[in-house]
Amino acid sequence: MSPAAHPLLEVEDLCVEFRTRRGTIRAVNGLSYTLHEGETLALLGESGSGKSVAAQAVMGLLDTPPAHITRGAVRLRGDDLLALSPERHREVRGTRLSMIFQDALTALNPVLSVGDQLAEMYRVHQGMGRKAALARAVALMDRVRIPAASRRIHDYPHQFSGGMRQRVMIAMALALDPEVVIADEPTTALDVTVQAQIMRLLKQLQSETRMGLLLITHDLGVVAEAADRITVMYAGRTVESASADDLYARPGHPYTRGLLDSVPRLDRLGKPLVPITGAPPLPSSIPAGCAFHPRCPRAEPRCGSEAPPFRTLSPAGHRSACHFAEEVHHAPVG
Amino acid sequence: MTDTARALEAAGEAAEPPAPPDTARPPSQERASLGKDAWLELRARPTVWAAVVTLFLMTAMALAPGILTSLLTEGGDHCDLADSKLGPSAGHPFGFDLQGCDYLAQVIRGTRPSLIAGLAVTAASLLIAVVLGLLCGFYGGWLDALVSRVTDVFFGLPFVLGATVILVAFPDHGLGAMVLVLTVLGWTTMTRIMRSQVIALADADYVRAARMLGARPARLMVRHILPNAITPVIVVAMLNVGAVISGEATLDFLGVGLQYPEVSWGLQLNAAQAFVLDHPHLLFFPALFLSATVLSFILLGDAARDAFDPRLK
Amino acid sequence: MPPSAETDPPLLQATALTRHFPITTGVLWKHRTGAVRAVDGVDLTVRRAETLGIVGESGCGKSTLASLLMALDQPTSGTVTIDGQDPFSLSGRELRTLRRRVQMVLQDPYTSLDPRMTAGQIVGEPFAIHPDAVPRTDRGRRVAELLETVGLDPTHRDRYPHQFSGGQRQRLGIARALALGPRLLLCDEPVSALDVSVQAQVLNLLQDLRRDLRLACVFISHDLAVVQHLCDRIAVMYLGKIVETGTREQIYTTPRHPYTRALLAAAPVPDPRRRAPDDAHLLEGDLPSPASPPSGCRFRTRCPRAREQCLTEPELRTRDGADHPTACHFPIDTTT
Repeated sequence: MSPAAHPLLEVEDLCVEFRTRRGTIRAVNGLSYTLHEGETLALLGESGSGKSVAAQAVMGLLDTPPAHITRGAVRLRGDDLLALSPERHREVRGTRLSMIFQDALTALNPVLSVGDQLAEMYRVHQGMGRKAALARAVALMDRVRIPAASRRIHDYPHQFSGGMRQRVMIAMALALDPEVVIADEPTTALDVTVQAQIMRLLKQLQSETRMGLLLITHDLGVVAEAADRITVMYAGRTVESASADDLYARPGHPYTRGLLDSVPRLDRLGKPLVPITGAPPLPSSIPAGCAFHPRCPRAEPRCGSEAPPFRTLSPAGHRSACHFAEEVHHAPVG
Repeated sequence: MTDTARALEAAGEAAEPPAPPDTARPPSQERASLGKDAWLELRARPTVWAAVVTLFLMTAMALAPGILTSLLTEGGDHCDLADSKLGPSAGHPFGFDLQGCDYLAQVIRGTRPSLIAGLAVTAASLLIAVVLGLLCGFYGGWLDALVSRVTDVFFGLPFVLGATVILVAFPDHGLGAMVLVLTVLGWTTMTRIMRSQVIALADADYVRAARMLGARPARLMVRHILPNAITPVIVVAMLNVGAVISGEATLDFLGVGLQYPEVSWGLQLNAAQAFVLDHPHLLFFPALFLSATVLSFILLGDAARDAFDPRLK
Repeated sequence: MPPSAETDPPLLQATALTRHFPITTGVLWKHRTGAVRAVDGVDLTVRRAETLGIVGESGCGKSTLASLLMALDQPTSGTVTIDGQDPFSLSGRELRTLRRRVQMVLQDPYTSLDPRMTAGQIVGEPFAIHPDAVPRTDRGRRVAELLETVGLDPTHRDRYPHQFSGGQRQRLGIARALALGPRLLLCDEPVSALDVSVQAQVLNLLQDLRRDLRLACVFISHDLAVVQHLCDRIAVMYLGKIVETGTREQIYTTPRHPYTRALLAAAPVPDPRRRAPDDAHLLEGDLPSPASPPSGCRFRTRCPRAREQCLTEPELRTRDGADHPTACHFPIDTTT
């Protein structure tokens, strides 16, 4: 089969468990999504939703033990990544799949110059000489719009501002022209004005390279600005997935709806907030049935026992895991 | 590595309750009661049990050498030169020393000065460390500058060499003087650690909040800073007991510590050195007791450090 | 001190407030080589039962400003007046009494509670520090009331902080701040460490408390959307200075300072249909170092409207009290 026949990245029914001495916790419980070329898919969730663990599972960054992938498949252009040896997975990770972390200061090595760290990508993966690799590093820094790249190549990470460091991280992720880039909260540590710059840069780079971008975030604003499609996670499960426009206009899950009503917005001056009651559950004590039912305004007794299936709501592929998905989907947005 | 991986690593290694993956700060990482933390961690380790049992035995020997001696040996403290340097035999499992005294009884009697030196020096150093560390770390200023320079100076003095020089200058000293000298030379490590802990905690949010409420410095230090700063100092204190015990034995061995007719492991080792080849038991038994005691304190200290570590970072 | 004869004196006032942190070098003999100008001439006023928002990005000096306003840190120059008194000239006892009237809610509920104290001890600590505030016999009841006020179960008073969720911890912090019946509450990023679905709970709680207790609030945040939700008036801070002050409507619908407009343009709105199509107002570059701020107007290095005058002439000083003061030589014309 030709590679084009397969979707770029396909995650199917992924389950990840952490087995510690004090018990087993299910961090990811049946996550599925598909990412296409040139597309931005957002994985939206709060802390404890399993979104970061899911990304690490795809990247092959989870340590076993304590983490165990108990079920599911991760296919990059049809190649099952979970079946790869750690050695092969590492190769894929550098070249076809890469990741941008939240905290660039800890993700970069403080005692190596930025240029050396970028050049290392080429030296290790492509066996380039030092000179050539450094030249490529400068080009890379230009590409992520770091001003005066040739002068700054010998600077160390701490000499860069937060925004510039994040650009270095992006440069590193893009060095080997990966097909898929996973960005885990790439702008959470940044100020709004810098965040806007970084998101704009990612969008520009994406249109240049046609990479698939998996954006992992808790920020409804960032998602709305950047994502084509959105998968919402709650307590390790997928609760809703839809195109960005559809999800914000007609959410099909009470959790998504609750998030939209509870976030303070600049475009709704003085409008009262409607909070979701309670707090997200700890992964060690996830409620039975629908995990959201203790906090859900629409919950009925059966929500506490029967886990709702992940159903399709519209021909456009809007899906939701709620017993009352249609009702929620068709209710007017406040 | 991400927060999740780090949190889980901490969870796995320190046997914490399952930490929620994805959370930067799993709630389990900040725990409440100092004693409970340590207990949960320690009871799962066989080495810790071995150390505890060893130290329990050593303490019993130090407190009641007479009872143990009469229980374990025939004739107790009775010495007969005719038995000099005899090897282990029935009723005398450790054999006899130079003077023909039962060696088990002698080794048991040697426990007390070692333990007293280790515990007294550490307790005194801990007290100095807590008081100076709190004051210097909290107030800073000239006091801090002064104490820091003094600790630097003492840091440069080798422990055993420094003690040798002082003790040689005052030949008629007993255990009390040795405790004093070892304390003078040994208070700096803990003080440094305490001070840096206090400096970090003085800016902690909850201290800031108490300050905002109008709490006086004494309350800030005693109620908020001390309980949260003390754990790593206690770990070092445990390790320190072992170090002091071996230091004391070294001084005795070198002939500048306790003098005959006092009884201590260091002195026994000293006496044994001339007869090691012919009568190895003279060296073996005090060395065994000394090593077991020192090792036990170090094991406890290590275990305590592991127990507290996730909080330290 | 008897109540002032003036009509409604401000509860909190800062005049030309400045805090410079010296930069020193040298190991034994330290000498000053410069200063970080964290707060550099700030004027602001908070009246009774009013909520003032202070918005700025990290490094703008808003946290230092909070410490100065709460008299936790000494200003390099300038004055703070709390309820007509200068906290820095008071004796220890007088300052402690003054602290009853102004309290603070800290940003991070994970670090602002002593991990070795129970919920009851944390909320009751103000009474331990001010024994005359509430008779000893009434303290238990008062703590229970406070826990209820902030929506916590009083039977949980013996739990330790780690047994509460982030939102509940922040409620504990708020209960502690309310214990002495303050008239002004300063909230330093009170929801930024919380989960999205929990933020609204805490914001609504603060909103209710403010109304029910007629509290004045100073609300410090980097998040324009959060600030707009709670505040009557808003001050925008950039590199140690306040660049614009105005009512909520003035700031959000007719911003006059280019920085305010850029902040508004950069803030993502959770609605894909409102994706900002133009990048015209997005800023370039990063915040300059507060150790060596640009000459003239501090914002000029990133300002799309900067002209020659901005290079040499310092920005105007914004005096609180005027209508919509703006520290810009060429403010955006709001009449068009």
